[in-house]
Amino acid sequence: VTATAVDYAVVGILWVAVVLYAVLAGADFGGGVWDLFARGPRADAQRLAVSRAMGPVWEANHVWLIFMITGLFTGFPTAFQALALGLYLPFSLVLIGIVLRGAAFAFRAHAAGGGARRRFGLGFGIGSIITPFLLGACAGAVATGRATRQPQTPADLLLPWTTPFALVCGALALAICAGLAAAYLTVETSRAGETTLAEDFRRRALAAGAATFLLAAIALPLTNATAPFLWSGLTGPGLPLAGAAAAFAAVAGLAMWRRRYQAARAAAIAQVGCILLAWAVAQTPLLVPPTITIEGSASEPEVMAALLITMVIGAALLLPSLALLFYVFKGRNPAAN
Amino acid sequence: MVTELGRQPWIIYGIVRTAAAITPAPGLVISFWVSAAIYVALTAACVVLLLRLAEATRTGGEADFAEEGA
Repeated sequence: VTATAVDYAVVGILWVAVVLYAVLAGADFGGGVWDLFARGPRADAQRLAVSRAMGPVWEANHVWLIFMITGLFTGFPTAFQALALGLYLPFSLVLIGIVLRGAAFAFRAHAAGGGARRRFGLGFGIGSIITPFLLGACAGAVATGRATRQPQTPADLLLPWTTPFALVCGALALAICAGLAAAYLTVETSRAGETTLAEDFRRRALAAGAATFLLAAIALPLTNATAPFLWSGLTGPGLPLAGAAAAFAAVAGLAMWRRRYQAARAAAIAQVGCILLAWAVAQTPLLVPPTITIEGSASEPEVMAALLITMVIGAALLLPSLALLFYVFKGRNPAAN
Repeated sequence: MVTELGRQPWIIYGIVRTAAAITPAPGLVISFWVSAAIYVALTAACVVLLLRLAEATRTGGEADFAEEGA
């Protein structure tokens, strides 16, 4: 096995973690969005459905974020350093958002009185909106090759992730998270026999899908103009995955329209996976455009080999544990409802 | 506190000094005060909620656990 193969294997595992974080924690963020925008006569029932769906598994989902951070730190320290400096402010805000929404969610469950509960709910909802938005904007900053400039002035802390492309990426990430959550909730509520709630979340899933489509339509020409690394990759090696993402998006929308909730959920997950992996393939061999490559930023071969072995052993322990967690709380387990 | 303070001035004991490891990005002081404020606010909220829960249990009323318990 060559050193290059080990480097690429580690990067591949890290990208899989990115996908898992997006489809699991992303849906948690989306759940917070629908908690905030719960409206109408069934607003409380909608919030309860969100809490029931998220409650048992949502802290577990952040394991993927921690895995990505430590994996990047150990395997690709120069890329980690560049991102930690270039995206210092948005990453700090993401951290605050994750902490505050978690605290607000937990505190709300024990808060006495409607006023306190509403205030904690607001904190939970706002944290759930800004966090995926900022993560999407950071992804946009990386794709445009602006994330590696070391900030010198306070303005430099804002510039990389506030370009039009990065802001559209932020909105896109938010719409995708909201759509994923709504798709999951149609399955969970319809399985529990709550058909009117499933209808509510179906409408929300379709709205989020329409928003995702519009934002993608805005993002594509911007990609061509401002993210040349991404564009040349997306129209080259990343094209099959980008096409698959569009196809899965169409399938997800159609299945949701026809109330085939399980199929819609599966297609939505596949769509998000394809979007992220298309991005990954498109910018290979770069890890962080414009200059940081996978091979160039990898640690010593001994470290990479040890890291890969550790990751495989860790996965052998972690994946069955998570599968059991999801089986117990998300499977057809009568005791969980 | 013991592990963090006892190791100073090293961030990795005997290898890297904390002063050499600090980020060159601007705004670290703001970041420090914001983090400190969040810790204080979360601690206060946690203590208040725990006291209210204890009070509700002691007076015999139903502790106000929401059904959504986190």
